[in-house]
Amino acid sequence: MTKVMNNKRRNFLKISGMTAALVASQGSLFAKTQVMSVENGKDDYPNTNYTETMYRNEFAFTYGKKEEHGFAYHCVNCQGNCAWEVWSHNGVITRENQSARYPVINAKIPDFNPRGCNKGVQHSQVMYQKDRILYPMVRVGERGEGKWRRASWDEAAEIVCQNIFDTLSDPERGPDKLMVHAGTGLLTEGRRGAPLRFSTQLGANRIYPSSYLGDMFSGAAIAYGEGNLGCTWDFMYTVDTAVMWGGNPSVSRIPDAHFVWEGKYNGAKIIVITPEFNATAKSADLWIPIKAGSDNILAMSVIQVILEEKLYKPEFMKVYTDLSFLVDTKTQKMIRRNDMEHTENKEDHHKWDEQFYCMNAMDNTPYLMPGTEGHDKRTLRLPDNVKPALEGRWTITDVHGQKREVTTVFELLKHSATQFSPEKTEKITGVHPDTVRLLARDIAIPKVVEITTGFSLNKYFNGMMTIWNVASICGLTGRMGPYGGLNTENEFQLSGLGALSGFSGKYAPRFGSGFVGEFMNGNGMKTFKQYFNDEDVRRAQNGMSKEEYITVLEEMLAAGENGKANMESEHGNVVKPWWLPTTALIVADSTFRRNKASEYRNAFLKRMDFWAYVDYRMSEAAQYADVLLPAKSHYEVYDLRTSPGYHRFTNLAQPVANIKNVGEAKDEWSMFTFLAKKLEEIANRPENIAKAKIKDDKRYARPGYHDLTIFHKEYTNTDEESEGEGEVYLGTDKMAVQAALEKCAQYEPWTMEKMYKVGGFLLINDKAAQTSPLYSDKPYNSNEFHLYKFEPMHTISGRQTFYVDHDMFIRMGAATNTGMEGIRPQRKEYPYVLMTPHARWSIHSNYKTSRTLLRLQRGVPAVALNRVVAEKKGIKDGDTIRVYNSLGEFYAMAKLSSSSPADGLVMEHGWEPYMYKFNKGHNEVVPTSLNLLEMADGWGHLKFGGLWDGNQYAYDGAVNYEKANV
Amino acid sequence: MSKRQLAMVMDLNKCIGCQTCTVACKTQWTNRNGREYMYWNNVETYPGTGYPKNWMDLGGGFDAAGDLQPGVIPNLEADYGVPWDYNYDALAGGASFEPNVEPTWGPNWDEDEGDGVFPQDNYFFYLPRICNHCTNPGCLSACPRDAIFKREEDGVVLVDLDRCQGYRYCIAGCPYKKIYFNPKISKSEKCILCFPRVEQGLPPACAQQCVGRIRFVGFLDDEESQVYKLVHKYKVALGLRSDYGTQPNVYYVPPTESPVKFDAEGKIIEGSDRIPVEELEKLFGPEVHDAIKTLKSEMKKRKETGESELMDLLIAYQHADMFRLDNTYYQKVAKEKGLNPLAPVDTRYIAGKYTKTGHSINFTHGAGSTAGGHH
Repeated sequence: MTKVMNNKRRNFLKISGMTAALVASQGSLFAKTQVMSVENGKDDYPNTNYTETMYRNEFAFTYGKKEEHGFAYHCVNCQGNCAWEVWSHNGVITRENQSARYPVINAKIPDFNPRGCNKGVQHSQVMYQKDRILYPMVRVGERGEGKWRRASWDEAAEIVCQNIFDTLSDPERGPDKLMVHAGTGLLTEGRRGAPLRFSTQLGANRIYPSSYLGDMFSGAAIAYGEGNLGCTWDFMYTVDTAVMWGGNPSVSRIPDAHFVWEGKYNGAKIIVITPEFNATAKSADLWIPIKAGSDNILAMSVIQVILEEKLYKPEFMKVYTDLSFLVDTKTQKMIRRNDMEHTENKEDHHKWDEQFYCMNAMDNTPYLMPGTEGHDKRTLRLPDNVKPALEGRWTITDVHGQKREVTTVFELLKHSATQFSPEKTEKITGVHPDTVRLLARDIAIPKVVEITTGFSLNKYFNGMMTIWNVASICGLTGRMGPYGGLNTENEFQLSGLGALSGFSGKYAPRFGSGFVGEFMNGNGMKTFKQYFNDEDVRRAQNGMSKEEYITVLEEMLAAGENGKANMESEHGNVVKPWWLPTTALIVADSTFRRNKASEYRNAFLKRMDFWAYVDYRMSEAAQYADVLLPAKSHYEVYDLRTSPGYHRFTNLAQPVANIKNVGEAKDEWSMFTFLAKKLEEIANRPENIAKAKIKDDKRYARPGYHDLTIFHKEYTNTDEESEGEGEVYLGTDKMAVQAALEKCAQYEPWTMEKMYKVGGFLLINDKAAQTSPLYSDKPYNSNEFHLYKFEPMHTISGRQTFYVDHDMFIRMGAATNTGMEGIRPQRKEYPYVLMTPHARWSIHSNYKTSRTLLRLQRGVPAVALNRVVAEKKGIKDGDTIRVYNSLGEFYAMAKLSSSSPADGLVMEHGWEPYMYKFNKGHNEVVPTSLNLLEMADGWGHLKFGGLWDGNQYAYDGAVNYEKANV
Repeated sequence: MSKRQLAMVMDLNKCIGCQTCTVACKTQWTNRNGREYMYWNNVETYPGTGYPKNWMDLGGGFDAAGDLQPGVIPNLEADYGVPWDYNYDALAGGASFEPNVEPTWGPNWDEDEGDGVFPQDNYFFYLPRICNHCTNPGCLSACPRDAIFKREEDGVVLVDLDRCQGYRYCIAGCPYKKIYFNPKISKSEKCILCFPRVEQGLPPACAQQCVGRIRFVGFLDDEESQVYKLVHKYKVALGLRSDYGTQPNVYYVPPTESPVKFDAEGKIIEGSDRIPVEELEKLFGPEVHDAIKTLKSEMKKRKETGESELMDLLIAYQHADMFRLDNTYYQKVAKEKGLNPLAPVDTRYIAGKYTKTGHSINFTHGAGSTAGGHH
């Protein structure tokens, strides 16, 4: 470092000329300007223009011409969805600046500007980074070896489509063996439709992303028959208490976090429940440092306190929940109409299976509750002469004349909760009983309370129970609509978009389970058997032995192969279906990064005969592909994005004027239309034409086959049938946007031109309302239609669910809310939990390799360690550490932190394995497993689909760490 | 003394540490031309070593007698951090992704680490920093070439790149270490408060693009501006390390919000505050006690009555209301200098007192000219 002489300021100025001469004489730079005398730079400086002009020119360069600006958003599964104005100079993008033109919804509530984040603000840099895939590439070396040759689009398409054709037309393989899947690097309403349409038209299989990512709200689905519910985030400004349970919005909900802190200024109490101290906790009123993964148990303690202190709302519970429903105390089964009455009619029998009773306190007789799934009366409103009893035990006589002792769901819940008094759970949760009681009161007493459940909760084996229990807290305290409630992730209703990705029912997607699909794809059973012992399984699965667990699981898995059991079922899905494809076309999905344990990649590559990959960047998946197809990125395309529902705006992507193409990248619609043309061409070749009608089950192809000879025509809606029905023409990204604007009722009356003019967005109209009205001047929060209009929910009881009498739930002791410890091994050799929450610096693996962003981190994968523990191990900040368990190891930089718990390691997730030493990603130490409760299926509203799949867990590995010598 | 002073207020309660400001600044100014290592805007976790490393210990500024203090020039590798790069084009060749220099220090190295005993009393908060555009800039006083100046019209401190010879005394003289040496052109460069944006109606990139909505920008002589109200009316926004004697023009609402502490048994300590007030006093001076008192009492009032003008200000219902720029004013300045007045590229933020009324501007010395008015 250079020490500057200690000169007094006046002297400093006096000697300045001398200093200049000194430096000049050393042959350094000379001033080009004439001698200028400056008395004092603070006043009337004579030479401002030179510098000012330079910076003004720089600004003018980056700003370009306003009329040439584009608009965009970056929907890479952050779901934030923000309108950006994209600046350019001569067709080259210079930078992005938030549009910040969203209108005020209510003058007394903060607006949504300037929506964006640290990742969106640098896409302009990433899109020109040298890990862009510029041209179609064909592998010439071994997989992953990195030897490619550049190919023309025509040749690449020929290779991809020939493989698709061969797979489909081979009687031994067919659609069961083909996967065409779009990952979450492309979540939009325009472009994403292209690969989905292609997939559906072929009968190829694809899997639910939210499930394999561990982002599915299965616990909310149990409770409400809807996983995605909650509020637009401006609602957060209006609450009395905001609980961030396992959530860290200041890091992973950056565009909306301001509503929380503005809400705090407006009088809200902010409570954060996370094992680590984080950017949200730092400004909260109360931070509850919970032991990792014990959230469902803490939630049970909250329920226990609410029950014990009678903080619940009985009148609400009687109408809007199943807590008054009658259950047989011996069998633990709910009393159904078929138990009480006999019918010969098969259809009635089925309906009666979904009709239930309460005990009417007015006359002490069972009363058949309206509004249940099988009931003809579609309302929750009860007649004046019905007062459901919440408590009691009774003996009733069933249709066979047998006496049965019954009680209410509420009684069973109370019984379940008795095991979870705050004193009893303190050791597991690490939360002081006084704090639990305070939390219970802060949730139960104020007028408006919103509990946001973070995505980390589903990363634990029993995370489903956490969200269900939190939902039940909301149900006991009467939280719906204006009174708050559970906030997972609101989603608005958008209709008509099937016109892009679907075929009006002619073809239907072959959906496989996300978490089960990846378990099977990656030979998960091998990892499971190797890693977990009997004690782990018993702890997490209500005492079931590992052996029995494996037997039960294997039976369920066998039933799900190629969707078999579901095909045979009369009343909907009964099992999680899965396929093992041998040919794949995968879009924007860094599959080796996100799946657990390294066994996945080996198993995937071994089985896959051919697979092609579409992306704009060289992800880990791209490195191992057989063919690479270059996609355009977010600023180079036309597109639309609304979902999910953090706000009510649909954003527009429209490229800057005269945009210069990056390499030979294509937008997905143009790309898949090109592939469709090629596939049609191949199918019509003389040697192929006879086998070009691909037979399939009517469930997936109404005609009984997929006709590849007219594939392109059907894909673009230029076939006779589609023309006849006046379907919209498809073929480019711009056409898709126009079609979406035309077809989606919620987009009325907007056009692209109008969206561009207002600043790159539209306001969805009131038809987007799901379970509450979308008022023009109020934030949205779910469930008002139930509360005020007595509309039933999409649950079997029509009400909020506290009871599931599925055999597996009964077997797991989880027919009503309960607490369950996790499956993570509790062995002394591996005392730490590895937590890898959603990131501040990337969206999963998107933007992980950004130079701009990595320079604002440690530049390499880093783990935050508890300072005291690490120092005891002789580890200094910046050291490389080895994190390991019996499954594997990885290396990362140590970050010594006062914000990490003593028993945990905290690390942002999303790093590509190739970013670590020896290409060993952090999932090397993460096991995979399947929870039997999420495997359970075929019950009421819990039937496999977009609502009810399961979660791939991420925090179930126990690890140790040491200073590395590499 | 400049005729008017453009100022910024940053609310540390609302700062979420997302660094959108840092990146917005980078793409606007410092991703090129020898500025790659510079962060004209940075956000550091406090307590922590800061950026550049230990900047508070590197001297500069003035003592009580007004004498410039000695300072040291930070080292690129040890104190700023090398702007490392990666082998992007090798990825297609199957390579691992590796930095070209081993990262040992960077501008956000101690992110979220904080201090204290987990979970009893550990804490941190974020401290975003740009050039303070001081009324008495240390850099300006230190420059032997007299090549640093304050703009008459808005007090923005600039390096005259025509005259700067790259002696770097300015870096030593700035107590905030917010002026940088550009090795490519051998001259000093620094945050320019985005004056080219401001002149054309766009707030500084770090402020307009701040998604936490923590930054207010306006002229201190504009009594309708948020900066005036927060700094002068409510006195809740304070300069950072005013003891350095440079009279900074970036002000901070101190972080009053942090969760309660726990005792050794894990019990909540009622009424406790994790952020030690002596730390805040160190950063913001003894005035911080009154500022905290005002903020707490206004929050209480808001909670109880639903009213508080101060809370209304800090909440900032409309993003555009956080800025009061003055395009008419800048056009007038340009005309007087015989330059072409620049048309606004955006009209959303030019709500300042001269632009609103569009009358003639009185160029008398000092702030609070009689022209303009309230509306």
